[in-house]
Amino acid sequence: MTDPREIHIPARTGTAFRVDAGTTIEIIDVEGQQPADFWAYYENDLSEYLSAPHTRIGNMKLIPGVGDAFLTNHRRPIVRIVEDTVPVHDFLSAACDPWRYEELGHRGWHASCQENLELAVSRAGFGRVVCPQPFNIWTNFHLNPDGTFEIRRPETKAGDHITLRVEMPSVIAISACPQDITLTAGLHPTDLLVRIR
Amino acid sequence: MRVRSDLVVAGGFGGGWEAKAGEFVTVVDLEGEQTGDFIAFLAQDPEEWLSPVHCREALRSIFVRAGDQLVSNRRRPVLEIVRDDVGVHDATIPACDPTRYAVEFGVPGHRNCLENLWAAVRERGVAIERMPEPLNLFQNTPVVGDGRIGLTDPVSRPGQRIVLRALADLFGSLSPCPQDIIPGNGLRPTPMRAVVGDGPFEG
Repeated sequence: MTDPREIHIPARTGTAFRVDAGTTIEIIDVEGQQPADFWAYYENDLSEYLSAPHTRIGNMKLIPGVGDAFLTNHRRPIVRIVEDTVPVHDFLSAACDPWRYEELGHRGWHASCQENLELAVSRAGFGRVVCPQPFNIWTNFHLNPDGTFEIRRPETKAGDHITLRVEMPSVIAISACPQDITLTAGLHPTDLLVRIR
Repeated sequence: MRVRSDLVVAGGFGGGWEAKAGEFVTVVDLEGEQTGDFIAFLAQDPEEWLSPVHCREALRSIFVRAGDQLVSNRRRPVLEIVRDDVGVHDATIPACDPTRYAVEFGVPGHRNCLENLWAAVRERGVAIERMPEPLNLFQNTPVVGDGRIGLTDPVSRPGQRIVLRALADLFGSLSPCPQDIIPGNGLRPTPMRAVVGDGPFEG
């Protein structure tokens, strides 16, 4: 089994680690209003990963809830939600990336969830992975009846958390979203805490 | 109009197309009630492709409609919907694939969109890191109440079409979906036509 441990993710950065099947991952919003972009890859074949389209059709819903599994692009359960104090998430938007910040008028380098993923995975020694659409934990996706949506400030307060159980040996990556131009992270990116057990 | 290519793809199979910037790609549902999985790559760099997830974010909508500019995974506009007879498309669910049929329906070896979508990539002999998620033309995936989604037959009638204007040099694939086990194509895969030219195809 995976050894229990805590990982502190400083604001605007990411982390990556491997876990065995059966491990639980608790992600804690330390100060509140901080989204966590979450990815999972099958350890033995990183080209099999948590896939939003496959998860949506597998559950026949846009966003999974407590008890639902996220499926890989080979339609196998990889992670399941077991507890969720603020079940308001986004599962339809991409990770922020350098092009997003350019689009928002930022000039020069800006941290992004996509870069956090790529750096964390390669620094942890897992090599190179693609950047599929993440599970955007606590990104406040509000769907209107006509299919349009808006992203509002997160509803989380300090200490809110979500617990996920891993269903296959996986490489997990989490990014404390560095978005400070839109309301996604309440205009003030902060830290996350991860408890693995 | 001057026609660059005129391709009829049999129901359940896949075909490739290419278009220069400014040209129009017209996809016609020849017999009606047919979903067409559709992908597009930038000719200059096939690691840049039409991306439904980035489209949703750019459009702030889970649906696409006439007038929308569709964007790539690098958030650049690559196609514009200039005509849409049907107005019902899907940008949220995956291509059907070998696992879908073998594991979920107990039918190994069934034709599937994922393998069909490789048509254009194979024809051009390029290497890609992964197959992009498709835009599922005419696919009817209604969203009900609390975020649950449905899967039902397209509302497209014979001859109805969507016209996309290429905003960059592109190539891509069209797969008239082979799904014949659950609703999605009226339980009967039928052919689609993809015409590329310097104007919308009216024939």
